[in-house]
Amino acid sequence: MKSNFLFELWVEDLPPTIQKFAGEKLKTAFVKFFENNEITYASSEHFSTPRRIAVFFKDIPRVIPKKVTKIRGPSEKNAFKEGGLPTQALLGFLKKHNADLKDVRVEEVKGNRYVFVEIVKKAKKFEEVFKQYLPQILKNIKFNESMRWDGNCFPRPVRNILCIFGKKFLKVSCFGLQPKKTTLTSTGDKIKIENASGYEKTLLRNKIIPVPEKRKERILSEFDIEEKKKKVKIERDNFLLEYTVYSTEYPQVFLKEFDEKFLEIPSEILVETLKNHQKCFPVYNRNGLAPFFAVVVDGDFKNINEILENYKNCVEARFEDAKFFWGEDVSKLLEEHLKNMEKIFCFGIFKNLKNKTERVLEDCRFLSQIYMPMRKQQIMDVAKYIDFDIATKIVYEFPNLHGIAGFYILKKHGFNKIADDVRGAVCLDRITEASALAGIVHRLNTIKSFFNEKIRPTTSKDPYGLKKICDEIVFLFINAPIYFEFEKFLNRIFDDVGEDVKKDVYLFIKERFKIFLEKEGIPCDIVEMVSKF
Amino acid sequence: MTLQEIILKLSSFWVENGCLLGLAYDVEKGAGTFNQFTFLKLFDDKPWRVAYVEPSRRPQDGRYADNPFRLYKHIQFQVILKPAPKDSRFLYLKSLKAIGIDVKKHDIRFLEDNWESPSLGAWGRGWEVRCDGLEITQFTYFQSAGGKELSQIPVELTYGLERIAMFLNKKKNVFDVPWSEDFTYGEIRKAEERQFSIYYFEKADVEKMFDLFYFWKKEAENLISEKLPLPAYDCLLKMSHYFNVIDARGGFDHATRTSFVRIMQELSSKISSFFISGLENDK
Repeated sequence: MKSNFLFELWVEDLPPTIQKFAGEKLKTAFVKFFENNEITYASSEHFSTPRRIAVFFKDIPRVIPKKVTKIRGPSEKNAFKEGGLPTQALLGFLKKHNADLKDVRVEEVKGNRYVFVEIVKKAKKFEEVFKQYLPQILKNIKFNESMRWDGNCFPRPVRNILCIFGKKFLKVSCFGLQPKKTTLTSTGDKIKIENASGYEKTLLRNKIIPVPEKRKERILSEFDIEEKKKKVKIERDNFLLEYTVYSTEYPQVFLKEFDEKFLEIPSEILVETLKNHQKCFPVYNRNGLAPFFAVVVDGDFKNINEILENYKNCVEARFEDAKFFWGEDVSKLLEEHLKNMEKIFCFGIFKNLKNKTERVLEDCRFLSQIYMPMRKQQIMDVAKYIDFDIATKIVYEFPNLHGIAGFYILKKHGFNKIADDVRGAVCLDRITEASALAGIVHRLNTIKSFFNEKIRPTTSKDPYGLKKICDEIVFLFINAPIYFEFEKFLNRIFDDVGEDVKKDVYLFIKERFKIFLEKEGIPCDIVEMVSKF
Repeated sequence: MTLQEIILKLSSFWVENGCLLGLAYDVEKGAGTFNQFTFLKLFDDKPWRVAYVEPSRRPQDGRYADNPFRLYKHIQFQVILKPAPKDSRFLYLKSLKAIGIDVKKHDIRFLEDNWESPSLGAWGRGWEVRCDGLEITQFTYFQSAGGKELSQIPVELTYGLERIAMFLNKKKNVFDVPWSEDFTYGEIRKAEERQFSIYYFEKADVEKMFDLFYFWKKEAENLISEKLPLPAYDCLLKMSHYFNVIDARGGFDHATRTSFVRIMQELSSKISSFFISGLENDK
């Protein structure tokens, strides 16, 4: 006789990054337990929402049959001393298999005589074995973060357990909880699950989609519908989409308008506010950012208009705040921002941001003399303003806007050409000779300051994002409209640190260049050949 | 529902659920966590339930009363339940119902937001609770304080009262929120917001703030050596406030800021050690 099996942990809201792998991890732990105990099953599934992780196994035998295993031990010669007393080898073998001396048989195998024991595993009910091993199964799941409560440890507190085998509710306990015959909604209402195989359907009836992929499909198809209705385009930001999938149980998409007056603020600031603060998706029309946002609510609400109005109030309040920061920043003189760079600490050999900019300026002056003497002033201007917006309030609030904020502030002050070059040097979206040269010099100085302090990225750790910076250097060298000699840059920029630092940076960049070529689909032999230079 | 009704209803709810109704602590602070009723009660194993209203000053958030949303001083309603009960989450949702938020009619989301206070050497796992996109509460299970792992895990609930009042009264501007039937929030607090924004952003003598920081540091050290941890803790709160004022003026470079945090962290660890070892009441 076989039955289906379901195990659910109801957890206080799991962070999306944990939940993403939690269902799979729980399933893997169960599969390992089944394999170790030779428990068969026909198929398996795992489920996860912010508040539950669960596994389902089809057709598990109710009784794990008796099993006799014959195990060969040491040879008879090595197993017994003179007088028939057991040797250490035999005693060790018996201990390992929890067997007794009286269980030993001697048999001949291909002309040699060996000792054997028969290990008998009695037939056991599945639920007995499961109860015995459950603490171990749960202990074997490793998460990137956890917390403590009531003497327990898990990523977030577990508040309910549901364990069904066929139609029977198993009386297992873990996390100090006794199992229930129900699971819970987000607000604590009970949902009766009649049997293991009806789990997903019962949850769906209660407006809970336990399979993340299905939640994602639903969001994307509702995006399509809303786009057609309003003739707009919703940005499918992958990070936000994933965050939304893993922070909802029953996602529903709605479009809501905001006051058009906010479109006066640079669109990048509004987009950052929508995505990072409000977890809403930006919406575009043929003119650019549209006065709408897409919100994904969690649940099915009759009073949805009231909820959307509340969302709109939050979005507009956030925009007001961004407007405040932006107003403060654009009303300041550029010289004030440049002066404030003194207050910003820089890691490593530079005392502060102003100090670093001075060094970037010196290097740019030197290198522009070699490559573009006619454009020296243009390059020096880019170097001067490449980091000034880090001292602004808007970049303090939204670090991702570094380069973009500087672009708009420079434009406000009438420096249109410098604005374009600075944006190109930081964001790499419009590369000229000037932006490439200043961008490379700036990034090499950043890497220099870290390497000089013996901070280097490893395969798994790169807290300061040095790999990304290095990849941008490679990108700029390749995409610069003129040919720069890497060695000339290195010799100039690293003249104030030891040769070992220069050599390490050289090797680091070479390695990243190799990875870049491989990503571009360049055949391995050519990559090897190029990277030998 | 007026702001004062929200305070009354939350107070009643939590008193009915076993909380002592505490008082705001009369020293400037950036968050309700700094109140003695929270921080200094975390270390022993004795059960503790308290609720209180705490005005919290964050000079950096001042907007001259021009912003509909941000304030230099906002009012928190703080609850500590130690140890955290098994139904903490649902108890919290019930408290929302008590102030008129029907959790089944709103998009209530618990978004990961782990809390950390470097100056108190404390951290916890938790969430910001959002109601239709509006952050209304910080919900945290403390894990460590004063640099020590806690033996009893408490839950801390910090309600943002102005935001809740805006939400319940459908007001887009905090200054339009009714404090009572007769007064708006703006009538009670607008001048204070404007004047203190001017003070913190323009007039405060930052050099003097550095001096005051060091003055209270020395005072705290003396009091610790005199085994007087409670007044020493007051000194730490003063230091934390001057630190916030200097920070609002952009008075720190990163290195100095870090060293100031470290100074406060060390003091908080020394003060906590009295409470961890149960010697806080020796004198």
